[in-house]
Amino acid sequence: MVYVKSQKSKAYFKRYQVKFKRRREGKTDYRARIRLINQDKNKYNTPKYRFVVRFSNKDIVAQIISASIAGDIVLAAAYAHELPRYGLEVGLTNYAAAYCTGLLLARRVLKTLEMDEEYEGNVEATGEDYSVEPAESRRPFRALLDVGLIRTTTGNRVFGALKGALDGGLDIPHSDKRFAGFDKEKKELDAEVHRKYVFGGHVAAYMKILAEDEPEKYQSHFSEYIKRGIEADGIEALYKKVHAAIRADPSLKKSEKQPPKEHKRYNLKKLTYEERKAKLIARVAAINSAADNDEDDE
Amino acid sequence: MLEIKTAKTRKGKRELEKRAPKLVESGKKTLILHGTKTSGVLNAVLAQIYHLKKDSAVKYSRKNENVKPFEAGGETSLEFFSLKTDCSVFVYGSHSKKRPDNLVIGRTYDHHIFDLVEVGVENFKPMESFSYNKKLAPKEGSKPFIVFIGEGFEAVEELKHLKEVLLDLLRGEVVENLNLAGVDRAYVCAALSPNRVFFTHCALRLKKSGTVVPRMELEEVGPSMDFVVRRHRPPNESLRKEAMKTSREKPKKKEKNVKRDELQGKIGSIYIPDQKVGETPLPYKAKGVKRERQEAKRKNESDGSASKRKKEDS
Repeated sequence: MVYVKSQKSKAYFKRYQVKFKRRREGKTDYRARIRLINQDKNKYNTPKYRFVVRFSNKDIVAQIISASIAGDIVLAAAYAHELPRYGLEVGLTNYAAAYCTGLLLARRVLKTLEMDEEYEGNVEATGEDYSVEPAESRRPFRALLDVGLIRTTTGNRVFGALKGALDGGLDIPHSDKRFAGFDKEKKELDAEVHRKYVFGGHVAAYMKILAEDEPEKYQSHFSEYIKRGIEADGIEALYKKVHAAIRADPSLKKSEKQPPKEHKRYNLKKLTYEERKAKLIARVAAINSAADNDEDDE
Repeated sequence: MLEIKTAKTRKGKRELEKRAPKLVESGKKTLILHGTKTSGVLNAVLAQIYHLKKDSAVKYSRKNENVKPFEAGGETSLEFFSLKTDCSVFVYGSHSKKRPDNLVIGRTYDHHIFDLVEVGVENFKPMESFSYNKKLAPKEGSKPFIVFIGEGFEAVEELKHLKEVLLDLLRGEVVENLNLAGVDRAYVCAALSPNRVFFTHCALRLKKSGTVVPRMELEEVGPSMDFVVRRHRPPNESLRKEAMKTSREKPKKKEKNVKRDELQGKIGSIYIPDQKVGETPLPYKAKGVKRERQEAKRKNESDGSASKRKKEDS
């Protein structure tokens, strides 16, 4: 084997400083986090809120978070898995569902702060860019969008959630460049295309294409839609109903999950140190008393 | 150890200019170091000091054999680190039989050691061990109150020095205005004896009192510990004078649109917006085409288009 000289010495590896743990895990962008958390000098320690949107395969998590030294504090949270309560049972992670989740979070925050009557937001979703105007008494609730580690491409679902929060009455600084329907050549937002995405028009179009061209794939791909009797033409009306239901009652409902059932033990329970010591003391005392009995017999 | 280098790129030059001395200095950053050996208690202390000062602190997580602040020749590595990270306050933790749970807090001037305070940490309670309503937790990066209780901070030389150093360490960002309603934390230091200081960190709650001044309650959020004063090295007197020197005049604001000329004196410029001369339509009154214009006008009138207004020859 040919000797290969190492370019870095042992002292180098001993002194290597690793980065933060979540940075090594690839979960937190600390550069973005520092800029999102630090409050300006002249804002006098008022809390700075972030509008956090995270996606998984089956759920959308939207939260309003502020940072403190004891950890981040969640002011309000909304999840896509709450949308079945408002009538949306399938398609919980698409652009339209992200819009519904953002709308639910915005209404919930404003209801918590008792600002929901002053700031109605954009009641009829038109797809156009909308910003809240300040009312007489209180300024609108301001938050900054926190997208995490995703690539902020045009039409990303995180901007669907942003659009829902804006229409719900929050004040989030933004431009319309990343919404679905933004035309790169003309450099303007096509409101009709965006409205189509907000009401699930892209899903309806795909349903129609699949139903015509590949009926078997349509049966398997949209099986839950078929089971609930949802067709391509009825999707927009369904989303309108969901939006109205969210605005009617955005409050959080506590989970009524039952406590876990008693599980049968198949092995002995592991004892703690004190329990083992007490058991040993008892055993030694028993042996000593037995030895005393033997001596009495002799 | 580090040879003085000049910058080879624009970016490097900008970075060096950021670190150059200024009339109004940028904030003080804190460097947190581990010694040759540290205990679990001391690791937790350093981690929580870093957590309290997260915006303006740099934490080195490896052992440092060369750093010995109080010994001759042990400063070179420390000054190199100060230069590398551009920190002016450092906190160094070590643990040995002679000095258990030892914490050295020091300041630098021009990246050289200015002064040092050595304290021992006893009765340490981390932030996690305090249970309170987490809604009251102070925000990250907010300005604290710092309270010093006890006569020792005026009478005893070591405690005076410790007070000065702790103020520099705990102060946070230098601001011009402060809204007292937003101040939500307090550091409390109480001198229990001439060489022992109790230190804790509290959240501040403003309660109704019926007067303009609210009633303030302290909720302990941790960390809390006892500082036992050990060695200390006050600054050199001439070095202290040098470090305290400030400029009398503030940096002068740039005066716009004013120049100075040796012969004519002060010359001002008056702002005139762009006049866009090229776009102004010129009056079309060339004399050579006057006859053609009159003939055209006469022809229009003979055509019977009376709706057109007659042009006046000025």
